[in-house]
Amino acid sequence: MRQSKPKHIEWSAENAKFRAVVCDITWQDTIVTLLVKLEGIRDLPYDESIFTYLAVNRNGRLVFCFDKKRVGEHSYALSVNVSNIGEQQAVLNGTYCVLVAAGEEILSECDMTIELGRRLSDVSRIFPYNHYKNAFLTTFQVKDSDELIYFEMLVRNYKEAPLEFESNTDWNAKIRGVPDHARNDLRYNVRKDFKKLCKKHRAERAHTVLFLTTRGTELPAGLLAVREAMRRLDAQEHYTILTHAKAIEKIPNKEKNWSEILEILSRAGTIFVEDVIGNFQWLPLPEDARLIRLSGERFFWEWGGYRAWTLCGDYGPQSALRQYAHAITASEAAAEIDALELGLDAERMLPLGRADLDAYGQADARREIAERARENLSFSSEKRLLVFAPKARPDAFGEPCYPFEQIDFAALFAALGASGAVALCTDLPVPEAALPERYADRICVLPEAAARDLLCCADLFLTDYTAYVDEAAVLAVPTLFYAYDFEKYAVTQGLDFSFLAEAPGKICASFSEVVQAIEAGDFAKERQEAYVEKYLPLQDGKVSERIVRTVFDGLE
Amino acid sequence: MEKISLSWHLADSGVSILLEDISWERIFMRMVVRVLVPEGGAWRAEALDYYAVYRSGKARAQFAKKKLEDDRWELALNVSNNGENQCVPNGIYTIYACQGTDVLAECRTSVACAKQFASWNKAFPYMGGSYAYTISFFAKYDEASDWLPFRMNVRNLQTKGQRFPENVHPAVRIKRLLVKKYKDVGTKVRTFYEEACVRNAHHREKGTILLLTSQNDTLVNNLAPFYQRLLERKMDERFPILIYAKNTAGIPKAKVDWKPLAEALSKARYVFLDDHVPALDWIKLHKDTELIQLWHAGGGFKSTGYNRWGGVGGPRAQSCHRQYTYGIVNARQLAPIFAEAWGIDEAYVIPAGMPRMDSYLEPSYKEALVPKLYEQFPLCQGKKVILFAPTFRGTNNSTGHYPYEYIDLKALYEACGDEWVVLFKNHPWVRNPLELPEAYADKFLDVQSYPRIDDLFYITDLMITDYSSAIYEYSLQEKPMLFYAFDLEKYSFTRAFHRDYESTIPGKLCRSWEQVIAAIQDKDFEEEKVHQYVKDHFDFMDSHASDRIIDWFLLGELPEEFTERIRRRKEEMERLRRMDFTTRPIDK
Repeated sequence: MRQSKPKHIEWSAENAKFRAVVCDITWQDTIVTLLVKLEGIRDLPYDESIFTYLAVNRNGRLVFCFDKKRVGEHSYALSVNVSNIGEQQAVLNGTYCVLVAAGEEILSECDMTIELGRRLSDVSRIFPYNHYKNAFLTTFQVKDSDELIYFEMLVRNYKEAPLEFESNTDWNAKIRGVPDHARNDLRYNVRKDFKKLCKKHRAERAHTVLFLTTRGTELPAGLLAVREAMRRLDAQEHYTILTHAKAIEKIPNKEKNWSEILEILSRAGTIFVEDVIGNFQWLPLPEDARLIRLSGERFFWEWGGYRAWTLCGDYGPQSALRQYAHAITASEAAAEIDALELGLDAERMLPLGRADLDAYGQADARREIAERARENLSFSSEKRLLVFAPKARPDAFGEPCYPFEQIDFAALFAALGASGAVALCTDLPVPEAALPERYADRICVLPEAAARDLLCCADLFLTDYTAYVDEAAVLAVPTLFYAYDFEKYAVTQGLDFSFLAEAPGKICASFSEVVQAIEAGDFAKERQEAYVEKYLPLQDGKVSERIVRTVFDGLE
Repeated sequence: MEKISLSWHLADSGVSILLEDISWERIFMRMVVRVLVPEGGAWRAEALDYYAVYRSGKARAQFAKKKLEDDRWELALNVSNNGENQCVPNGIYTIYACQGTDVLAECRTSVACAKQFASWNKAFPYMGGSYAYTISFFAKYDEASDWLPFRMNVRNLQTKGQRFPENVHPAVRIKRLLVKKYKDVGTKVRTFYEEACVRNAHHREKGTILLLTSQNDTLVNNLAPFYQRLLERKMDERFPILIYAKNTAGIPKAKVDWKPLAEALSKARYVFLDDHVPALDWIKLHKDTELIQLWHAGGGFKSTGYNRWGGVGGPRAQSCHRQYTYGIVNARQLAPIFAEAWGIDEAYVIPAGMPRMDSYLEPSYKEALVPKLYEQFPLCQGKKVILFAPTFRGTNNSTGHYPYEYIDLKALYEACGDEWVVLFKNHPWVRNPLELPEAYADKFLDVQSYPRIDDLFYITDLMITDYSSAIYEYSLQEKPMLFYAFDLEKYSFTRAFHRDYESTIPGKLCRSWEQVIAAIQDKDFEEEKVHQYVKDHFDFMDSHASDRIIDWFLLGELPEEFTERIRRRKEEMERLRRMDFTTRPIDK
């Protein structure tokens, strides 16, 4: 929104044509809404519908405009997402007043009610990130003036600062610290090398596609599906397809083999990823490269990216997320939430579906997955299979745990009937005492990731906050949410309360409710159907091809 | 330092500390907790102490506690001063309840409270928002309990850019830092000061006194009478006296020659000042030097220092105020207010009186002056005198003004009748002079050029003011006051008050000019409030403040009451530092 050659507009509060009073301030995630009432405008010849509400910093520069929505007579809700005002940019550091304009004429400056003035501190927000060491702050204050209580919004991105007296030792430490840092400043060298390589491979980028993951040696399902779709569509005739799959996230930067990854990255003009690449936090991609993020496994209500700012986020105002040229999302409805989470403009969101779920939309592929998954089961495939995949909670030490001993397996098996069997999918050790011996032939413990494929042959899915909810919904596997600790989990780990209204299945607050639901066959299927309709309406098994066609326009 | 080892009873004490609410009053965080203690056991709610403990196991602050009703207690913490003249340090804190050396419980919170943390968090932006001191809260998950472990995250923060990092060669970065360092005035002055401290150690050993002001080119206010008294008592023969008086307000830091000040500071064993000295925000004084603040303002309402932290013009996290060895006030009751304002411990705020009151309260001075005043202002002869003395609006010396459109001179003139005349005396920072119509010259007089407002109080019968600290001296005359606060809310937002204005003012509050006129006509001044105000705000009503300061701080005769209080406080802080919470059994 910042203009390179700003137009000069004269304005003085004395020339206000009417009052614009901020009466209230509310927050939804990182979106702040000001309730503004226009006073003394009734008899004036202005068309309120064309008014714009401008956030102008103390240098007099327009930095962003609020989105407005009429909420009553002469009343408007002005909102802005402080983590993204457009162009993948958080509100810039500054102190802002809010001006009301009609075209290029400034008509008023927002002041505030005395009542709001008294509780400005309550409506200010601190968004911590980076383990609480940094913060993005949005506070409100009164501008010093004789006339009205003019409204100001102070926005700053902050890093930790010492509390001690300023001293020369600080300087000396800073300067002494740099040579050590210089010797190890790998990021500088990596960025420098990358820039050189990018220059060298500029021509290649127009027709090179990279599928990239840094989490493991195998591509995740979504990337695989898109790569296969490219091959099916004979894209290799036009594009060189590269794959880089290495678990490097946990390797210290200095021990990584940078030359290999830099070489590949510099050649790629289109890069598909499914998860966040940590190195993109500090390694900007060349301008002619497109980073495309596929929508993958997720628990829809879990706060991630910039939504996690409301608790404690991982990302600062500039981050790896901001480098996405496009993010593929599961649906229009999911795009809105993903845009907030990723800090991207709506135009960058492509609601094309989840490529990783394509296989679930194809009967043959589904059958194949089911057969493969059954091989891991220790009991007959004829059983009525319940997949139980609970999410680990942090214990008193912060280590993952789950209270398996509190699960009444006897009641669960009784409810499932004689043919019932349970696949307990968890990466946590399950205490022997928690599993009744007499059901040993009807229960097996598998890794958490096994749940995904097992859903293809499951009759029931019992979970709480795991990432496989979408899979179960697409496969129409009845789902029960054993969310006995939902509120506690939500406020400490960051979950959206809309889960209670939207979760695709029955929510049970106690295990006896789970048992009763199984006995009664009450799985709230209508919630699952509504969820699929709203968030997964595009899963027709052709998402990956749709992505390829959209991203590589004209490719057939 | 020998550590105090603690016994842990978190699992078996049966004591629960459950957070219910957090509210803020300026820099005070107030938590309401329910304290559940098993009956008949060894633990007692009244005996519990509450500590904010770092992850590293160091206790960095102790909460003040107050019993509310039933099992509810209020835990209060001044976040701008943890008792060590500094803010609660950066870190994530757990709050533990201890009885003696037994750790009985950690503070926990509910889901309902956790949902409110966003509005309970508090930010104190300072230096125009370039920095902010923030306190935020979060809860940790606990499988075993619905009451969640409560954590307090404290961070001092400085502005950080929002762009992707530019690729700067490390050598260039070093060069930039070096250039910054050698361009930085603070670095140069500190280097000079540190060297001068070594060179001038013998001056400090002699007990050199420095009288210091950065707000005027001469000594005024409290320093002038104090200096006069030093000379009268021939203290200059015993302690060399240096004076540094230079108005540096509003002058860019780089344009001031700081060397004379640094030189004087390095020589001084005792530094007396009566206002904020900005240079001491960034020059840390030598450990031998005692800094004694004889604050110029008595006890008004306007927030200052840390009790306006987070507001416009608030101080840095570390500032001049933090360096005071002692701060001098007029009354015990004012000590908590000024301790809060200066961010120092209350034990070091000593009620010794203000030197400038010495002459004001000297009967011979008054006797000699009053006839001269009537001679200078003959209008006042035989009349009752109203002194209209409001404070300024705006932020500083250059923007100070008063909005005269809020006063109706005609109505005031008519209300005067034959009984009253009015003297108009603005705050010295008011840049827009009042233009009095010629027609009112028989009852109105502008006395702006008269230097000492205190003198005018002798002949005043009613003062109309607003938020001025002039009420402090005036109240000693035990005469009525009207408070014309037409902009009370706005003023309270922009300048803020350190205590409730309406309930503290020693006179009648008028929200409109009509109410002022009516009060004059009805003689309704609520004068009884003045007597209580004087009782609360003055420990001494004599002419010996300077003498007390000399005796107590230069001659080492500080009364035992204060030395004992300081000793106790030092012991408390020492104990806090020695408490070792690293032994918590569940900590890894």
